[in-house]
Amino acid sequence: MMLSIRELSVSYPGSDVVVVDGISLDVPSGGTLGLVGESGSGKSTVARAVVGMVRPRSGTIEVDGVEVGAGSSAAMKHLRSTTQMVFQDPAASLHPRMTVGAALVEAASVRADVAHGQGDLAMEVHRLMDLVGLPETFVDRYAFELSGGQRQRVAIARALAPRPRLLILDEVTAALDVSIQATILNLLKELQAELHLTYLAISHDLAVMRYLCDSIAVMELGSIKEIGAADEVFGSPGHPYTVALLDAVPQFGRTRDDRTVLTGEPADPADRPSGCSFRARCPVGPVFDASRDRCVTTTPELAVVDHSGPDHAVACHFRLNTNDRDV
Amino acid sequence: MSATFGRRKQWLATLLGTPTGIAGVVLMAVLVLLAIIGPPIWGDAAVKSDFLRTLLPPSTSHPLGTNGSGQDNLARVLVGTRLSLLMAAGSVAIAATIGLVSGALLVTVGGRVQRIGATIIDTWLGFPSILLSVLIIAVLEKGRGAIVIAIGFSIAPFFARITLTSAASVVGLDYVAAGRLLGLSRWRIAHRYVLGNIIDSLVVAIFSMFGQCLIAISALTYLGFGGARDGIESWTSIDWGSVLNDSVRNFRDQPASVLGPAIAIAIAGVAFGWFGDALGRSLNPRLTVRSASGRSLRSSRASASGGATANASVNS
Amino acid sequence: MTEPVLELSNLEVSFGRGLRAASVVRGVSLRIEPGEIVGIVGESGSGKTLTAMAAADLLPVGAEMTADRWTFEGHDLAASARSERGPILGGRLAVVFQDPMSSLNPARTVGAQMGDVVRVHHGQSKRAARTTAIDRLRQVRVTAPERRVDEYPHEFSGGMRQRAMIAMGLMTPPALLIADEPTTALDVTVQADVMAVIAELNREHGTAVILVSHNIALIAEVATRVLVMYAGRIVEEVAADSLATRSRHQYTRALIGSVPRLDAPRDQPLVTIGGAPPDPTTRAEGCSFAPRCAAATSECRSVRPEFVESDAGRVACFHPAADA
Repeated sequence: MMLSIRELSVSYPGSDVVVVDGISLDVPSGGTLGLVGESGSGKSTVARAVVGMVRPRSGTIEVDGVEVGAGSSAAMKHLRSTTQMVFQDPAASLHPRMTVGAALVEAASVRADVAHGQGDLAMEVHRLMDLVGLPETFVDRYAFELSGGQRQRVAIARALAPRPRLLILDEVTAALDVSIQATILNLLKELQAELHLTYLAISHDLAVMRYLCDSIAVMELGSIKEIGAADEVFGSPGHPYTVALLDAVPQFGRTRDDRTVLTGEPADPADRPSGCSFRARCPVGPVFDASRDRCVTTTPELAVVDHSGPDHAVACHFRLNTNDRDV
Repeated sequence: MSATFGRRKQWLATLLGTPTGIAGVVLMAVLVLLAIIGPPIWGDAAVKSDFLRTLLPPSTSHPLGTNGSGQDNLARVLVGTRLSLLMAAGSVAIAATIGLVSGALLVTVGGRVQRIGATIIDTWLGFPSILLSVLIIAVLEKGRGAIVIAIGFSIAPFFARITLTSAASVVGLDYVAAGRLLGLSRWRIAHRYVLGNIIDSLVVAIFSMFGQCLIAISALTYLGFGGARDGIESWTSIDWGSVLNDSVRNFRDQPASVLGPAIAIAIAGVAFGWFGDALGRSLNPRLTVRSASGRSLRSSRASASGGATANASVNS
Repeated sequence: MTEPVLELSNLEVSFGRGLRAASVVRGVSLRIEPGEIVGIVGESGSGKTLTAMAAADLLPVGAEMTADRWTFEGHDLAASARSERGPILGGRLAVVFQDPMSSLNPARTVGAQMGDVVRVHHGQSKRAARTTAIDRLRQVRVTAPERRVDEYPHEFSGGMRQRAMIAMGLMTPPALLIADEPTTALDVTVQADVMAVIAELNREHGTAVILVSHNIALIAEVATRVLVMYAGRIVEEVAADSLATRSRHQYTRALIGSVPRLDAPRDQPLVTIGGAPPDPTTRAEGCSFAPRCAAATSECRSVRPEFVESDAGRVACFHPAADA
């Protein structure tokens, strides 16, 4: 496993509010796992915990077999040589006063085993820009002179400079136009094949995740509600939340009326409900069916679903028949 | 492929790009020149007493008249340039050093220490600078050095504050996180990523504070602090504040003499402010760079054809 | 034939003068009938937002607008002075923006702001206005409206703020709601909720809607008719339910193909469009999409295509695509 997370819990510094509540997941080398969820789900926090930007409360994070969650300097060193991140906002993720070339040289120089002569670095910058499809002339450009798509390419090039094996992609196409998004998604897929990269992708956009990822974890209020191969999770979802999310995604050939609309706001991590965190909005939960008080008393655990492959697990007391899409 | 990855040297053009920028640069040059040549050229006229020619009104040989000791007022103002500028510069340097370093340190350490530090700075900032300076001077020996230190110390929190807030706003941004993730050293992050991005506002602050320092120092020397007027006079004891003191004392007889130091102080403050603004602008690549595609945010002379072909040939 | 709610002919919006002039909207004509939901879809730089803002008389400073015809509910707005347009549009036209935080006044309670509309245009008393506000908030599914009406915008969540903006537009039943990317910043479930409110408004009150978005699937779901914009022009007009199957413009097809779909095979490659939209300061000849179009011929590069009727609408393309 390239990335292995066990019972990870994170709360924000200076507060007791638990934003990530004991999650576990594995990403095999060369694979792509997508973390999907709404605001407050904790998905971005998981990403930040993996790269050491926030300290976990408890639990372990292993990258390529080495535990990095504790934050020791050896762990951080290992982390930096194996893992990099591409951020959401292309405008804020590039240094405003460094040219593309300077930023890439800087990123390339951190690798101790790459020769640092002027010529070698120049070649390395070449290679990186080539990889992401940026023309040579962009070397002297500043970030503000580039379009959103171009900036994301630079961000990807920079992330690839230290030759990482694991890339965390945090909503990398959320700020881009759809046609540009398609180009970046295709680029990411190509790079993965070419460089044998492992991806952990975070997004709220289910269709994008379905395209990019081979496995999916659906998060809601800090816990994973459903996890499995993308085909399984999207094809035969077992959790009512997953079904509701999929239903909410606009699709061609459907009109407004033939769908259930999830009412209510996404819950607040500071005000965590007892039992299942989704119960206040769940269309088949205690609000709609008073007999289902188990949802109030007991937090459902992830349980493997029988019919599908061994990886598909759902955390629900009344999980849906996975062959039946209609709630 | 070009081997230069750095900035293009457009900053001179930006520096001189606005009317105030040009004025600022010119005035600064004049002031610095005066500071250098003032004492050698007019030093004698400034200190030579002539009790037969006291309190003369403005004339061709004494454009601003003479003071109570018969010394030429204009000469005194010109000679005073050096000391005034040096003292103000000294204060700003002290203030900026203390302020920037403490602000930067607090941001690097972060957390509770930063919060406590910020409170201390705010309290410090709340003290009226003149009062604080007087207190400090009372502790140190008299003399102009004490004034420089005192004003420097009392203005320092302003720089600390500005560094703290600018740096704090930058530190949370994604590109800083990206830099850390790359494993760049803390020094490099602090220097290139944080400081490098707030440098233009710091530069502007430094130069604009200069005027304030100048006024505060002149106020103190005007009030008689800094021990002067005893023994042998030279350029080391003449600054605009003490000249102003002179002029005010002789105001009833010689009202015109007040103009000299007052205007000098005002001009110096404005000159440094304009210069600082222009310098700050020139350090911001967004305002200086003319890109290959002809797109510059300052210039609207974007060449249309150049822009279109550059755009069309590149995959977004 | 009933009077259209809004009619704009040959709209042009430009910035700057002389050599630096950039026309960001060119030759746009639209006609909104009562009760329709018209979607305008396009990417950055397509001019869709400016078109909507022009229709709403909310163009930013520096923008110049010309049109052959501009009417709202039969009133000629082109011929009216700025001060006359206020009374014509006020209360009959509602606008919802992408970022409600910057369009709601943070220093006043939501109820107070909502009340402004009816108090200014209809002289309602404070109490009556508050009652109406509570009622409207309930209509847009804001929970506990009696409490919410006295809260400030920052106490509302993103989705609630958008709904509050819609509620504000409902204070006097509008003939037309112009919504510019109303759900872009929202979670997908909240987005569905807000869209449901808009759809309900259209159904129950007959309010016509102009919905501007870059999300083509969203528009296909909600709208009845779709206008596709590229480089400042409308390139295609098509019925929403035919968008996926019978749209004809090469750009529309490419745009649809570039969006990942839940109902397509997972490994179906996304269509990418090479190049970038043209610079608005240039006026190239021919079709503005030609430089990036796979089907472009020399005719496309020299002559600008006019609208041609198609079975699902009309399209400005010399090589319209076949059925999908």
